[in-house]
Amino acid sequence: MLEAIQDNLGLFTNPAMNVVNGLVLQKLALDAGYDSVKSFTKEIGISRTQSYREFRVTGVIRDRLLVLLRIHRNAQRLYSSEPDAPIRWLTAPNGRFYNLSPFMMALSGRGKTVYELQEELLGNT
Amino acid sequence: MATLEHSIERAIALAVAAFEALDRDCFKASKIFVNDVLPQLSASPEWVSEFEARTYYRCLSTEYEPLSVAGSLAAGGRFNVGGSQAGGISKKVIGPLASMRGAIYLSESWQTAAVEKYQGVAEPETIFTILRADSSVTVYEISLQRRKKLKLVDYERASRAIESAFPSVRTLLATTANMSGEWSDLKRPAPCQLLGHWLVNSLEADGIRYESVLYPEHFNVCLHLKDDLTAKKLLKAKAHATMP
Repeated sequence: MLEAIQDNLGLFTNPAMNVVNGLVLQKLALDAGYDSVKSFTKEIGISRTQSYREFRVTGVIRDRLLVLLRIHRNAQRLYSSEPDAPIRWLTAPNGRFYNLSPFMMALSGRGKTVYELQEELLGNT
Repeated sequence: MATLEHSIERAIALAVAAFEALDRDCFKASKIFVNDVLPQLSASPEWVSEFEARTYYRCLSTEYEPLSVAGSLAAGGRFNVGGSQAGGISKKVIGPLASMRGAIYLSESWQTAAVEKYQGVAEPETIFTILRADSSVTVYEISLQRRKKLKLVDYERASRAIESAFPSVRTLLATTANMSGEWSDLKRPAPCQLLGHWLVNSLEADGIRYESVLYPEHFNVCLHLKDDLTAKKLLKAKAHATMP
């Protein structure tokens, strides 16, 4: 289970899931609507160099990243027609969520709304 | 490490700010709608039609009661204000239209009901395939108990007429035009919710018939109902047996 979750996005880089692959996070943020690496790093207040490294995360941030992975895992079951479809859905503005992407829903702490709906449909609840 | 936490917190703050901005925009639009537009509007009987009794559909997780208005009372919906939006300040500023009102949202086909329920997290064909096989979600057939007809406002006709007289209304309603779920996140009434109350009140209608945003050319009905007892007097429900 742990491995499956980590494989989803490659976001976490250790089994304890408290070290994040900054490059993957950076790519996701870019896919989710940031114009460039520079604007993303400026917006969130890290250097470009930092965004290419691995970072340790704990607490609420880690919880939200786990929710992000859970949403992505569900999306893989719901958007299985093409390999890129789940990630496209994850990072696209979504009318269901005030035009925020599911990625931003997860990071803003509203990911429960997304995964509950997914899992109700998938029959996991 | 602390820097990354701080960084992601900033990203979170941006997303939360986006929600709050939408809420503020909605409320601003609602105030304009109530104070500047509504006093000049008069509802036309031509916007209302009587519809023969037919079968409607509602898609719900099996744990929910098909004829309950509880969800709409708590969270609100496209054409009704719920507890989430009916705060004290809203009533003071908006007036009685900001009062909570129960509603049941129905669709004219089971496919439309399913897309309305799960749009945003899967494509329609995927939703249909899962529902055909899955038992954790039930599609209910909803029909009238005794009455033969429903008096419904044709939303497209009404909004066309209103927008042609007041072009600014299109912009006011557009604040939530593409919002088709999670109304509970709105903390103050949206213009479309107030319009829903005003149309049903003014025309003494049972509800509003409107085209699905996400499943075009398919229609939904929002019935305004005081409480579960009223809903059960008007409607009856049974599980939809076949989903071809």
